[in-house]
Amino acid sequence: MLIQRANVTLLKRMAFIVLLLAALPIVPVFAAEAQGFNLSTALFTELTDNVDHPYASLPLFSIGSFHLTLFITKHFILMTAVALLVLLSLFYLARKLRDPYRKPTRLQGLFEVLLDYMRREVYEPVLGEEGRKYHLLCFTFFLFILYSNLLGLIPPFAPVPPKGGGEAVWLGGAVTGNLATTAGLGLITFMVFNIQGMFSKGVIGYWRDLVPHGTPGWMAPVTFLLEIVGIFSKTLALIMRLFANMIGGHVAILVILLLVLKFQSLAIGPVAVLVDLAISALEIFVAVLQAYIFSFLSALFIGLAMKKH
Amino acid sequence: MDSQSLVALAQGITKLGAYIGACIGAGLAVLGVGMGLGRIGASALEGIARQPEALSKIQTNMLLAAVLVEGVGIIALVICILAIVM
Repeated sequence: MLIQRANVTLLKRMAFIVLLLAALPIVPVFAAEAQGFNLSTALFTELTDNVDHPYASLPLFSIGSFHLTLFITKHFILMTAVALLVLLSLFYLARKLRDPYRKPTRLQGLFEVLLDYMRREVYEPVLGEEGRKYHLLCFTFFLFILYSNLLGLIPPFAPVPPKGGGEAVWLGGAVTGNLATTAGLGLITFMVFNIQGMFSKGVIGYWRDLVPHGTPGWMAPVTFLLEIVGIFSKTLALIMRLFANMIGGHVAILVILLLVLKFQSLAIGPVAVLVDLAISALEIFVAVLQAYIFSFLSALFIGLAMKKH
Repeated sequence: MDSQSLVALAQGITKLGAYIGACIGAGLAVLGVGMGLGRIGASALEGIARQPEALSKIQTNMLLAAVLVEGVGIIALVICILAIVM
């Protein structure tokens, strides 16, 4: 019988990690005083975008008393980073795909697996042949939401003072945790599937085909009304699902950490960090899954709008 | 009672109502999600037990249905958080 020696390297690494985690509460907590700390305002500041006190503001144009200014805020900077990452990934993939005889690199393999899986299992069954032009839109949704969800799991890492002084706002958080971002993505899907439906079936034909062909006469108005409501509710559910999943995860993580400040006791520290570790692991899974779901449902709605029964 | 403590009492009762409503709402939402996901999981497992070679297809569809049900529950939870915060 073989007697196995204990894996010394693994034990040393585990001991190091436990020591790091135990040393966390010794790090002094730079917090507000006991009277000045309000859990809900701290949570609110962490989760929402700092549009009221932005880092910078650029006036774009103004007509009379209507002024359009661009506010450089936390989510704006993060969204720019995410957009650059999406562009870089797609350019990289395109450049590698142009030369199919070269040995593929590992990163190229990862992107190819993603794109091939999404195409075969998700986009081609629901979009069909005439929907091939929407593969790129849905894959861009997937990459954008995936990158912004994953970047949102990085805790706020850099304090940047807003314009006009005041307390520094930390750069961090999920871009998709902003209702405006998810609403923008959902409205793109809404516009695409309605306009494509009107292109495919005719402007009147799209609205007429909302009611299926064989419904009896008395049920037609009810079905029509339900389908109209369904268009809006599907879009709203798409928007709110992504937003709520991201906000829910970040609220859970932040509340457990902010309990240390609320109860003014460092003993909560190690427990809070361990629980947050478990929640963050779940959040990684939720991040990838929500990106897949948004992309799949967008493709599904576009495919349903285009399909002639 | 003078008007200032009356206003404070009214605000306190509003907050109490908001907290009670939010917590009951969150509990009911989680109840619904739990029942829904349980049924999805049970039928998925039954399908896998009947036909083990369809495992990946069943798993994909189970995850899809689970995310949709969970999405509705999380939307309700966000509304409850909104009731507490505002």
